[in-house]
Amino acid sequence: MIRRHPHSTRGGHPNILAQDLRNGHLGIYPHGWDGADGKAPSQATVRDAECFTRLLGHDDIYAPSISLATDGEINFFWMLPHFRLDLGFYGDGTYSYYGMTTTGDEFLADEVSISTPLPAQILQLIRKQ
Amino acid sequence: MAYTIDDELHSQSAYSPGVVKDEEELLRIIFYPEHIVENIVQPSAIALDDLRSRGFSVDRRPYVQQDILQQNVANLRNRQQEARQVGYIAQLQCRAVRYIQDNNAERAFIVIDTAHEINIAHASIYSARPRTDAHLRRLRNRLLVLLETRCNLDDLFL
Repeated sequence: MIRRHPHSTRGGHPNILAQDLRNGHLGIYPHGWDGADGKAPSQATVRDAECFTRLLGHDDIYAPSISLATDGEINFFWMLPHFRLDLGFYGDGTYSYYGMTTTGDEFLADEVSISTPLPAQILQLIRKQ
Repeated sequence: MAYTIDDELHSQSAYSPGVVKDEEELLRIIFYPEHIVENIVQPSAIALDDLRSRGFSVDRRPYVQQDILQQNVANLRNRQQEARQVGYIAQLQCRAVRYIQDNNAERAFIVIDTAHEINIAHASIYSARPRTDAHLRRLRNRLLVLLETRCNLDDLFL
């Protein structure tokens, strides 16, 4: 379920965003939520992020930092000692990502269907050891 | 507006004090905890659409006015007080931004003098050419490293 926050000014705090997304309550923010010309994430973007979270939903996966960009992206970011992964949603039913290991191996993909899980190699990298 | 590398060589605004030189320092306001988690600047601090078309806004250190910068920080903080508990000024060297290369060993970013009437220090960083989201993510992670050098607003004008 997606609910509108009564107080949109709470938006942007990474811990609150992660908590709200986990609970299915990530807020819908107005245009200019950032105090400038920031575009709000659409309901479709929130749905895609929730769908991906459910797909990901194993306890043995490290939790990403979740944040909003001013172009409406919901961003999931894993910053692990051995791996860094930047993954995001814009509400078109797909996601894209770029990841790099400390040894220089790179992973990138565009327009991956939201129903397609991450490749096993990446899941292995974000799984708790 | 789609700028090209050639546009770095010619002033792009009637209010501009001139093209942005390699040796200039560029400033960007970032906030804790909105943009910084466990002392790491988050990718969402740089919107892909800014790199693609809107321009990633920075201020040119030689022309920045303290009162304008302070007012911008205050205005932005007021809108998101919980997410913007502390304001920082990231300090990017223009030469370092222009030095970043893509997979083809070509310039990744361009820095354009997009001065405003009320802020002649305003400049913008763009991707040097159109790229997919995944490739923009790759390059913004290079740019993010430059946002790790930051100071408090008050320290900037000591």
